[in-house]
Amino acid sequence: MAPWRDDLYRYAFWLCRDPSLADDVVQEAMLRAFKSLSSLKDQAVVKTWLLTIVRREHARVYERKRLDTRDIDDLSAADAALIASSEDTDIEDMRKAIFELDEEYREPLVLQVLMGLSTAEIAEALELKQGAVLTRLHRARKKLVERVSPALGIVKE
Amino acid sequence: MDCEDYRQRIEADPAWIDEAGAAHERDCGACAAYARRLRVSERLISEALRFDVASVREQDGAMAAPRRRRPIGTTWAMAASAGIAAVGVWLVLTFLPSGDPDRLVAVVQDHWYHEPTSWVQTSAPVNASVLETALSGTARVDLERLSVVSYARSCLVNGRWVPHLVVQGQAGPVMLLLLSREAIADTLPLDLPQEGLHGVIMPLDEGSIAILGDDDESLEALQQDVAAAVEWAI
Repeated sequence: MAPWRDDLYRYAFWLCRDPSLADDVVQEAMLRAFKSLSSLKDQAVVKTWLLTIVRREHARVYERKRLDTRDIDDLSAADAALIASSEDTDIEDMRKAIFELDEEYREPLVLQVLMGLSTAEIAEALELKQGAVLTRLHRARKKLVERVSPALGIVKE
Repeated sequence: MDCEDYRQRIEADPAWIDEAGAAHERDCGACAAYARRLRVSERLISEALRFDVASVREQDGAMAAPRRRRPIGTTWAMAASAGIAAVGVWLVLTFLPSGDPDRLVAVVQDHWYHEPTSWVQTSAPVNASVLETALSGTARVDLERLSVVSYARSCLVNGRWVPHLVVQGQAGPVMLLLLSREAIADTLPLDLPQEGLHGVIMPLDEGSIAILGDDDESLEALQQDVAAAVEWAI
């Protein structure tokens, strides 16, 4: 159970960019998942099922608490600690760059790279057309490369 | 396919490759170099997203205590309920038919179609630095125990970047995917009869290795050689 629970926590964190809130979202999502287990008939779709629950719970939390979207300049101590939790400064820079991405770019990237969803699955989860997902993924990486490349010695041609 | 099309496509999915993309990458040195660099940054993206959850929770618990408004009793009750729910979810999922090994088999078999240019019979080994880059941080390979490694690349398989190697077997090229984080209980068969290919995903310590070769390839001997040659580096 631990591997997917950790990935759900990571997904929740990258949605809200707040470790405490991510914890709340995952806890609430687990309770909801438990209550609606009877609706799950096929384990092959368990990952997307749980992702959908976490995503909805995240939206609910924001609605309920009327939270504002986060800015990189508003990093809490916990956020800063998470970003700097790697000893590798390249990873730290990349984490910061991902943190700064707009949600519309960050979420499909997280779903693809972290959760291993295909572009078709991402399109379904985010209720977008596949072309829009490809565009967002392309733009997300373009922004990350532009921001992090100089530090890595990568020159954008 | 021109440079802009190619770059847009690989920026959307660095593991993507089709015939037109492979041809463009072969013919355009700048795009091939760009793709290599993009794949380096992709590894960083993946590492950056996969932070260590336990240590973050621990740090957050220490830092966030004063600003949490929920009463301690409520927090404990909620955590306990969520914990019980998580165990419940796990128990139920454990007794549902598992879809994951099937998915892994499907993803591995599908991956064979991604890199058609790798599937050649040759005696030329891949450049040592290319092999090193593909393996970096994942595995060490004792080349003395394998025949010629003719192709090496880091590929996105089932959501993780893994070394994709091609070795030259007795009956032709053989695809190896070093799945260091895909733990499986038993050997899983691979079968692509329409392509005349067969293989296995075999467990190796905490990970597994996919081996896919010609129907005439002896899998037993290959499995032994590969298991002896590969050691996880993580």
